[in-house]
Parts: sequence; structure tokens; C-alpha cells
Amino acid sequence: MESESLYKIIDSLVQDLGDGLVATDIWIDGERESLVELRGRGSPPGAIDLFNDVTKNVDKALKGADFPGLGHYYIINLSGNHLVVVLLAGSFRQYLLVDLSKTTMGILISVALPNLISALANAKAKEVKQSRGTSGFWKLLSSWSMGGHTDNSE
Amino acid sequence: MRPRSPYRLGVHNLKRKDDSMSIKIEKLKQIIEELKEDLGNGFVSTDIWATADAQSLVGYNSQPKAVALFNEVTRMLDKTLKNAEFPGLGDYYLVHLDNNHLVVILSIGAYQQSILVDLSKTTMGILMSVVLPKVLSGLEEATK
Repeated sequence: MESESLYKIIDSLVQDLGDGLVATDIWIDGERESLVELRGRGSPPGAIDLFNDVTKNVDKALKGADFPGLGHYYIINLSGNHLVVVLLAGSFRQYLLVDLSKTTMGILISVALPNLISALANAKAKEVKQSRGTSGFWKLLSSWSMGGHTDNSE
Repeated sequence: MRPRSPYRLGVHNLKRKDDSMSIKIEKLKQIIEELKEDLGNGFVSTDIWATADAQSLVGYNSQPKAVALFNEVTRMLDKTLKNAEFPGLGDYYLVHLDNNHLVVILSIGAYQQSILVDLSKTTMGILMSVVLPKVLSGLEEATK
């Protein structure tokens, strides 16, 4: 079941980044709802809309500058020693908020990112989309939080 | 015959009329020389500009259109992050491109720098652990 593969993606991300992972969302390109989310304390809401807009603007700027299109990811360094990573893999989009005081750039760039890109590329967006209605899937997700909240209930 | 300088100097003054911003052009040239050494063939192009003007002051394989557009992207990022209750934009952002190149945009005070890198000819380790800290401190020094 593809929903399990997304669950595994988050599971291995938690293992790789530990407390350095503040929040993450996985969604399908062009949609506004999260398939899987993880919210730590202090993680801002509205990330999907925000990064859909940012992705569109960055892609537009690249094309305007006659650069090749967006590749697999972009990374934004934030004040307060945090980073945002946005991954683009097939139909999937994933955003990560990372606390760099609790992990290292080496782990993020050399371990977590390649793992995520390959795992997302192997997940099948169509099947995940179809499985969203299954109650077991949402129960699984609602139990998956880091002291914050998940609001995936239908 | 004297070889043509690889640097493209903009019309920007070393010191602006209002005296509010000044920059050491020689230090900027040094940053570019160090980029060549550190990134080797992985170094494709760079530009350094004042955010207020979006005009390249010093560049290597300069890309004026990209300067103008990334100046806007930086402004958009800072504004949208703040509006969304995220922490503000830090010192840099990176964009991975389709052809395995990477655009790095650094933002220090009133100045920005773009660096285009070919990842098939250098490593993320060199970029993140050697180049980025060096360029950030070089820019800080040049704009003091």
C-alpha cells in the first residue's frame, strides 16, 4: 500500500534528522492538502500554500533568466539557524523545516536528501491519491506527531 | 596586447553619494579569485550586486537578467516567509536546477551574490563547508 511508503519516508527522516526535524509535509503538486504531515512545536501553519507559491515564483525567475528549470530541490536558510528544504520528485512535493542546531548540514545534504528524493520518486502519487479516503491511513497519520498537532481528520 | 579582464565592473561608485553604503571592490575581486580556486571547473558564473540597484558590480561570466530576477526572488522570499510567520530569510538560499547545476544566492546587508555551480564538477561538501562560509565572511568584510 503506497500510504505505507509515505509513512516509511517520514519514519526514516526522523531517524536521519532526529530532533533536527521540526516539521514536514508531503503533498501532490497542484494540491493544497497534506498527504502526510509532522508538526513540531512552533512550526508555522500554511506551509503548502506558501511553498506552492514560492516554487512557482522561483521557476518563473529561472525561466526568465534563461536558466534550466527547477531540479530536485531548493533550500532556504532562515534566521535562527533553521533551514527550509523543498523537494520536487515526480508528482510529489515535500517541505522540511530543519533546526540546524540539532543536526548537521552533512547529514541533511548527504544522507537525508538523497534518501528522500529516491523514496519519493519510487512512491506512486496516483495510488496515494486514491488511498486518501481509507480511514486506516488517516488514523495512522493522526497518531504521527511530534508534540504538535496533525489536522488530517476528514 | 593586454589580456581582457574577466571582471565586469559596473557603473556603481565605490561609495554612494549618500554615504550610506560602501563596498571594497578589490575584496570582491578576491572573492571571485577564491571561488575559482575552490570550485575549479565547477565554477560557472557569479555576480555581486546592491539590492537597491539590482545591477552587477563585479561578475564572472556575468548574467544581468539573472541578477534582476533573483533580486526579486530574494525580496519575495523574505516578504512571504515573514507574512507566513516563518523566521525571516537568513544568509543564503540554494536552487537545484534540471541540469545538475546549483544556483546559490547569498544576502549580506544591502548586497547579494549569485554563484552558479556545476555539481558534476565539484561536491556539495566543498560548496557548503568551504565556499559558503568563506564567501559569506568575504562579503561581510567587503561591505563593512
